[in-house]
Amino acid sequence: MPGEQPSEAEQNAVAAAALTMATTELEYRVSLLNSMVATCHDRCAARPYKEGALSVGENSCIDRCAAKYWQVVAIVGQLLGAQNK
Amino acid sequence: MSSADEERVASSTAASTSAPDAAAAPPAAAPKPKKKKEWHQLTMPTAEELSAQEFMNNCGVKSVLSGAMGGVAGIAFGLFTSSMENAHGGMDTMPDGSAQKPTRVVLREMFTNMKSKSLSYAKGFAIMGALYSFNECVIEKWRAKHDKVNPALAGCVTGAMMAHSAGPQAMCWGCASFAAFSTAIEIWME
Repeated sequence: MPGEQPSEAEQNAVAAAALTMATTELEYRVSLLNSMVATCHDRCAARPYKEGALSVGENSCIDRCAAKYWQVVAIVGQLLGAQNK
Repeated sequence: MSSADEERVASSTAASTSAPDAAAAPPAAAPKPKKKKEWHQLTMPTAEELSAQEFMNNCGVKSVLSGAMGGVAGIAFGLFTSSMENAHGGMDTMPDGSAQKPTRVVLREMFTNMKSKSLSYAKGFAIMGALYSFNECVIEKWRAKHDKVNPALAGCVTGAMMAHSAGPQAMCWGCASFAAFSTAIEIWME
């Protein structure tokens, strides 16, 4: 039938675009997590390393660090989105 | 090749081919040259592990556990002290020996002395342990740092709290002494 082939090409194009977007989004999220872990570990983990588990102070420091990081990421995303418009 | 090399080659080939009967003989025959360190795989914590960590992170739970441990330590200390006191038949025995008490009475007196001493020491140690643990947990959570200042601050607050009924000068002295004691213990525990 004549109507199927363009819709199949359209479907392929849409699927490819969605896959590219999903890949970019996943890479962004992975880099976000990695940088958050690196930053909060640099600031919060007490050196020298004595125990394998996190202590109470390190736990609360990491809680605060992750909350601040997440908030700053949200603010920067909003600013970038407002700038793009 | 030497016999040790032959045994090592035989054990490695047996391990690679994963033959159970061939692998059983060479490791038993060949002495290991070096004991390898066991490395465990790093895994994400399970839900039970996370909830257990959250449970232990609670300041109230920590203080209750420390209080219980302090109570046990106090009972042991009281038993030891009372046994040292009662070593020669009680504290207040007269040396003249005119009114000799029967053995059963002496034993009962020793037992009651032991019990009262143990309970008083247990109460003191339990309160001290619970207070110190609670203070250290709260201070460390508030400062969000893990260093050697926390035991000193917590010791100062605990010492001041425990001497609160004896006036401000006793509170300062208790703060300084308990802070020094807890810092020394912390340095010794490293």
